[in-house]
Formats: sequence, C-alpha cells, structure tokens
Amino acid sequence: MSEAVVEVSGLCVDFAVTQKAFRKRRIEAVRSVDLALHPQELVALVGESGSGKTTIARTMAGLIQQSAGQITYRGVELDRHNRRMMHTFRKRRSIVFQNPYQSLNPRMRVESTLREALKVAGLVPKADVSAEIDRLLQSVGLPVSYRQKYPLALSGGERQRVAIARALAAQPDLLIADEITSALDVSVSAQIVNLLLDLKSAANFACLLITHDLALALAVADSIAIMKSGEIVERGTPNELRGSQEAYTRELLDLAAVSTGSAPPA
Amino acid sequence: MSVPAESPAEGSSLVVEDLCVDYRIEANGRVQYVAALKHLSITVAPGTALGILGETGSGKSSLALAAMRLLPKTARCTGNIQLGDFDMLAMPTKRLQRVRGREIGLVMQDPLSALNPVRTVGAQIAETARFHDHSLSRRRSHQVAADMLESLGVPRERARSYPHQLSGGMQQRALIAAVMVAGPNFLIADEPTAALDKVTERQIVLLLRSLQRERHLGLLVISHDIGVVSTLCQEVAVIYRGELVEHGATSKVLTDPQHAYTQGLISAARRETDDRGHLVSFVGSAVEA
Repeated sequence: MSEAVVEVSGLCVDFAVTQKAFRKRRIEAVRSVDLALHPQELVALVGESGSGKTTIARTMAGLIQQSAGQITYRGVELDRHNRRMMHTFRKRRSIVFQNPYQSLNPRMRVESTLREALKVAGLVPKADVSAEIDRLLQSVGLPVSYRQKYPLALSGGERQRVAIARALAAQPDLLIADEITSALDVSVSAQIVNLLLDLKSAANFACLLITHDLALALAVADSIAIMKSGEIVERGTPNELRGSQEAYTRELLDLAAVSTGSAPPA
Repeated sequence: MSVPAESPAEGSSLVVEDLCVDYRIEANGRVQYVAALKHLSITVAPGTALGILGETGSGKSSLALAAMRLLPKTARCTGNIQLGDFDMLAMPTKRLQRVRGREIGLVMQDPLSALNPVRTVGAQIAETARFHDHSLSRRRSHQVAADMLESLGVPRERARSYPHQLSGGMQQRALIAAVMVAGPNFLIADEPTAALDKVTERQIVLLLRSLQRERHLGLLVISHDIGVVSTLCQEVAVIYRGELVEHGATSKVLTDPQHAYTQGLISAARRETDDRGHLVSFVGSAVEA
C-alpha cells in the first residue's frame, strides 16, 4: 500500500478535571492508540459516547495536545520543533463537525462562509475565489443560488453539505468527519455519506469517519477500529468484524442488528 | 405515597380523527399555508404502544405537538383528538393545564434543551410533582423527585446535579422522571433517543418499555429509528409527507412492507449498499412511487 497520509502511534491524551476546589484528577481519555490513514482510505472509528473517539479526532486535527505518542504526516513527525510541517498539516486537514446547526455561523451567508475558508486556505488566487465558491457548491450537490442563503434557510442535510464544502476549500489530505450524520435521519445521512464517498475519490483525501453507528461503518468503511474507554479493542475490515468473537464488538453488532430491524428485539 | 403514578391506573386511549395541521408562512409579504399533516387518523388503545415512523419533515412531531395542544400560534389545526374522555382540541386552557402532564406526558427529543440549565434536575422534578399535587410539602416533593430518579436508574444524589453535569443518558432519564412524576396514563415520546449513542439508546428504550408495561401506559413513540419502534411498539404507522401510508402490526410492516416509502425507509435503515458501494438512499425514488 502507498505511504500513509497520517499515522498515529502510541497516542495518549489526558485531561485534568477539577472535581472540587483545588482537587484535580487526570482522566486518560485515550490510551496508546495506533492508527494509519492512506490516501482515499475511509477509516471508521466506532464507539459509544465517552469512548474517546472525538478526542482522537481533535488530537489528530491538532486542536488538543497529546500527552504521549507521535503523529506523523507524510512521513514527517509533527512536534513543536517542526512548526513548518505542523503548519502545513493544519492547512491540509479539514474537519466536519457533528451538528450543522451549530458549526455554521448563523449570521454569515453561505458565500461568506466559503469565502472565509478559501481565504484561510490561500490556495486560490483572489480573482478566482468567486468561481471556486460556485464549484464547491456544485461539488456538494447544491445549486449556485444557495450562495446568498443564510444557514437558517437550509435543512439539516443542506447545512451539512455546506460544512463539507467548507472543509473541501482547504483541498484536504485528511478529512475528519466527526459524527456528521447523527443529527440527520437515515435517508439524508445516506446521501451525505455517499457524497463523502464520491468526494473522497474525486478530491483524493483520506477520511476518518467517527460514528457510534456500527451498521453505517460496516457498510462504507475500508477498515474499522472499535473503541471502548479510550482504547481500541478491535480493528479490521468490515468483513472481518462481522464474524468477530470479541465480546464488546459482538454487543455492538447485536445492537446494530436491532436498530436496522434485521434482528428481532430482545 | 401521594404520587398518583404509584397506583397502576387504567391507561387512557388516544383517538386522533381526521387531523390536519397547516403552518402559516409569510414569504415576501405573501401568506401561505404549508400542510404538515393531512387527514390523519390513528388510534392507540389503552396500555398499548403505537410507533410513528417517518423522516424529518414528515409531520411526526406536529402530531406530538397537536396531541399536547402545544402547536405554535402560526399553526392551524382541525380534526379531533380524544384522550380518554378529554377533547384535547376543544378543552378550555385552564383545564388543559391539569390534563397536560397528569393525563398525558411528553418526553422530548433533546433533554439538554428541555431541562432548565440553571436549576438542579431534582428541583425541576419536584416542581412538577408539586404542581400536580398541591398537598406535597416542599421537602416531601424533593424526596419524591429523588425516589423517581432512583426508580429510573439514576443515583439519588444526582438530584442535586445540574443538567450539564449529567451524561446524555442520565439527562434523558431525568427528563423521563420529570414527566413520570406527574403520573400520566399516556406518554408521547418524540424521538426519545435521537441525542444518544446506540448503547445508551438501547438502555433508554428498554427503560421506556418496562415503564410502559409496569404502569400499563398508552404510548405513542415518534421516531425515524426502526429499532426503537420495533422494540417498543406492537403497532406501527408510517407517515410520509403528512399522510399515513402504511399501518399495521410492527412485525408485519417491517418484514413485509407494502408501500414503496416504507420499503425505502427499511433498506436505508439497514444501511444497504448498491453495487457501487453507495448507501441506498430513497429520497426522490420513493416520491414518484
């Protein structure tokens, strides 16, 4: 396989939690996690709330500092001594957040949201920005007339499309999709995930899909890592996991079977 | 115990007849009405559970709001909604306030926005208990609140927590406690697990199921999740664009769906993929059918 875009090894993340005044405790949110993402690969991170999925995403995005472990981008280790690489990486990774009702600025038109993202990315000459906005909107399946709209006038699925368009503005190597479908219902979420699959091959990025929905991960991911309490308990391709004997994976598989209606409820 | 819920009462039935809900929309100075529900009729017998399946925008939540008479002023509502002996749409507001909560409870979707962020969950549950039973002393109402939380699997001392200090599952349990403390015979659950992950969702669904069975509640579950509906409900009604497209026993509708929309909903929920590896999405395809 080709070289990994981003590789994470031995990643640990701690949080200091103030329980009562002056009494602090450290919580290990993520414990020695290894992950590698190759170009055009879709890796799913599956686990329940509080299992550390989002912490991994945020650390990989450089929003949280890890307490141990390395993140490697295109074969170069990212650390504070290598600011130039860090800077490049931060420009070439995008995040789509969970709730499109919160992640878009309600006072900015779609056009301004995208223009700002393009300006920050700095990849398109100023004269071409307007054309690029049209191109981004079309690539996520929205009509060009949506430039003038405010988020309030858009449905949940449309908002998520705008958020994806904003993420694409950076021409990312890595796109982190943090529970992008959990605020949407099944049919709209299917459209959004399909869009992501199409864009992944068209725009050539790796995608880290974070979800609590194992059924979704089984359907679309190239490989899946199952997380519990900050650790990866099992990983494999969807087919390998379907026959898994690991207790927690089995539990999630059973839940997935109930929620998809393919097994009778207990 | 002075909490009315403790005595297993006979559940009420909910009969909805020919319900139409339209929303008034003003765009560019023109007034328009958008239909959310069109001539909907459903019946929930006492002590049974009916699931309403449908997508965002299908009118599911309008049904919940209409049944509680909580629709906004911009909505126009015609038809008939009968809860036991109460005519929900015609009743004077004063009496309605006694029926809401005590006879029919509503569990909303997002507990963090349904609960008051600046009051402890215990205080909120106690407030509801006192509103419906004036003989409760303040101290007693707090005990009732803690009892209620405990019976729903939340440790007693959590009554002193603020909503943001609780996990999503506990918030939802606290919200259910605030609804159940008034002792309703009928419960409407509007997407009760939408904000939760699959593991917690399962716990809340099983909690609702045991509550329904123990207290012989009438239950109307509104959801787009087939797993939630199939676990809780013997019967299911599928709504598409404000109209009832399919109705029947849950096992039958889910294994042998007749309407194209129901079939699409089920294959999307199963996360079926086509030959290109894309998920099956049925918007647009089922519309013409």
